Amino acid sequence: MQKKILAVDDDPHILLLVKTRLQANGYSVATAVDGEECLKKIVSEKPDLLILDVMLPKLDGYNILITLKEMRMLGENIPVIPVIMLTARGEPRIRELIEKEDIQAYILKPFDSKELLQEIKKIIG
Amino acid sequence: MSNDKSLITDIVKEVGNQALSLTSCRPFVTWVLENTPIVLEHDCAAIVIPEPSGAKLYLRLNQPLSDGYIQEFKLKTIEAIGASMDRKFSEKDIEVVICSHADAPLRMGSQEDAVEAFYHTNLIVRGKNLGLFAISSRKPDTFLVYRVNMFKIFAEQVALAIDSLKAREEVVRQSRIIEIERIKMQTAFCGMAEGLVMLDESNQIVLINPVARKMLGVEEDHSGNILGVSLAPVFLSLSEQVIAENRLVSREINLGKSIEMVVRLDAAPAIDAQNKRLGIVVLLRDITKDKEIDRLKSEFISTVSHELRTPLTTIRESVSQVLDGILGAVTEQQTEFLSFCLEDVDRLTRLINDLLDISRLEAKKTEMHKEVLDIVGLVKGVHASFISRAAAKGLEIRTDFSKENIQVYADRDKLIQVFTNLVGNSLKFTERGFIGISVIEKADVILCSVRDTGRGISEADVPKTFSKFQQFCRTDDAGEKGTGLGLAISKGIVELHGGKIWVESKLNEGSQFSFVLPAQIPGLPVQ
Repeated sequence: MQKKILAVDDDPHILLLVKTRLQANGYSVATAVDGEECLKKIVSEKPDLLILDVMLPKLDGYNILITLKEMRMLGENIPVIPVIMLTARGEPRIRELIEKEDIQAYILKPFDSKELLQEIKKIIG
Repeated sequence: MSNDKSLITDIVKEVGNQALSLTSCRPFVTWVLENTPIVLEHDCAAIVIPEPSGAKLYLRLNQPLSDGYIQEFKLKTIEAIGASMDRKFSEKDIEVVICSHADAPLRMGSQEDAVEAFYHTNLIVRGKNLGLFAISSRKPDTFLVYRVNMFKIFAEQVALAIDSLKAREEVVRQSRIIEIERIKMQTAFCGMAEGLVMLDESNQIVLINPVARKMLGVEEDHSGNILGVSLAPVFLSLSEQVIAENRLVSREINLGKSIEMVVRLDAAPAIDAQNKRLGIVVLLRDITKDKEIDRLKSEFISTVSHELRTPLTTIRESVSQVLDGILGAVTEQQTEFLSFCLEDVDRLTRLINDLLDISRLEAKKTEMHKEVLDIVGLVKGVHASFISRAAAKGLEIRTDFSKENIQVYADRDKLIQVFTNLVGNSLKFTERGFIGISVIEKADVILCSVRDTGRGISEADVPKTFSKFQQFCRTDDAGEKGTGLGLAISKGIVELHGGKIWVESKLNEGSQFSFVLPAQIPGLPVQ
């Protein structure tokens, strides 16, 4: 079965490029441009993987992860989804989050699509 | 004039009283010379008091006398003082002070007179020669022994009085100097931009300047104990630490209530000239602005980072997708040109990353994540990443470790960055021979070197090696183009670890870049 990836970025160009690249490699792709849309699509689209930017309108990348965790703790039926952070900011906070949260990989923009595809393959096949 | 004996005694007694009522020599000497005729009849008298340079000659005429007479008397007096003090005075060393009052006789220019009698006695107190007292007369045999006795007693009293007056003058002079110093200190203390507080050993405020008063909200009439001040706990702990460790201790605190105000406190031990501890001195500096500038610097770095990387991402991935044929077939020439584009996007990315690294280093904003790690394993990883590139150039990369597993307390990523920079440079500038990486554990440092048999650096260029944007012998190789920042960044990283980096090189023979890192690992005893 085709794996579904939810890509979240506020830059429409990057979002389109990620979508095209992933589709060309046989993945099904859903997109979101801000934190709120991301939360909605996680519920409606049930993706297998999340590709997440850090700086996002309404709710940033970290807070999306924190919100998901809280929702799960409140008993909502939200599955644990693996996450690849794709960001232009080399933030040290990410190191801690990789260890603590559900972040599987951290890729710095501008990214090499080969590296991105490798990581995806490692996580969801 | 017949001298009344009781009058003479009164005058001699009066010397002490006169001296007590005055604070300087001149009015006293004037009084003495005015009253000397009562003690012993004469025509002209002088008191000479030597000073560090020259001497003062106080002169009084009791009769109208000729210039010739006065000159003769002066010369005799100068000669006598010189002889008694074993010090040569010339006429120009002597400042003549005329002590004659308005009713005293005037000098008469044309008169036939001469010094027929001259008598002098030294003004001696406790063996110390303070000066000379001289009298003269136009009549010979004026100063007979029985008359002179009383003058000698008078002179002794005068000497005692001059001695105490001189001491008093010195006290006045010294206290004036102290007062001037006090005013200077007070002006500096009150006028300085920093706050200053001095506490004694029982934490009483000994000194506090207006700036410190304002910062700490201390009232003008505060009783003197630090305990009443809002920041008392901070001061008490500073005082404790300074006294325990006997060194400068600094702390930053936020004093602001509605608006932010960050104050830096530098506390140092207060020690007097005899090395006795007096308490502590605390300097308070408002560093709110510095903090704000620091914050802006960090913000600027992260904003620039984000804003530059986002468009580069779009450019890179667009070109990359066209190149990969996702959007349709591409011709050979299109592929070639798009590859140029991709290469330069990567180069621009490296440049941005390096610029951000160097800005962070310079702004002291580099975040360090130190851990205990095995540097041998780390170097092996770097080595592995270069093997294929070295092989493509027909070069060998040798490694040499003083032992397997050398532990160091360092930031893994940053150390990899340093080795990658150094090995990358060697690879770029070496055409034949080899590249050697070594890690040697010494007593107190870990010595790391990367050497090559490449083109080397000229003697003139060696000092500039670690400067920003210094690129020597740029290659036209097809490989990655440098940013000119790698070595400056490496230097910054090594220094952040408390280490040192240097280069030894010979043109056309090769270079050796070495750096040391402290061998001590926190938490472990020093070996």
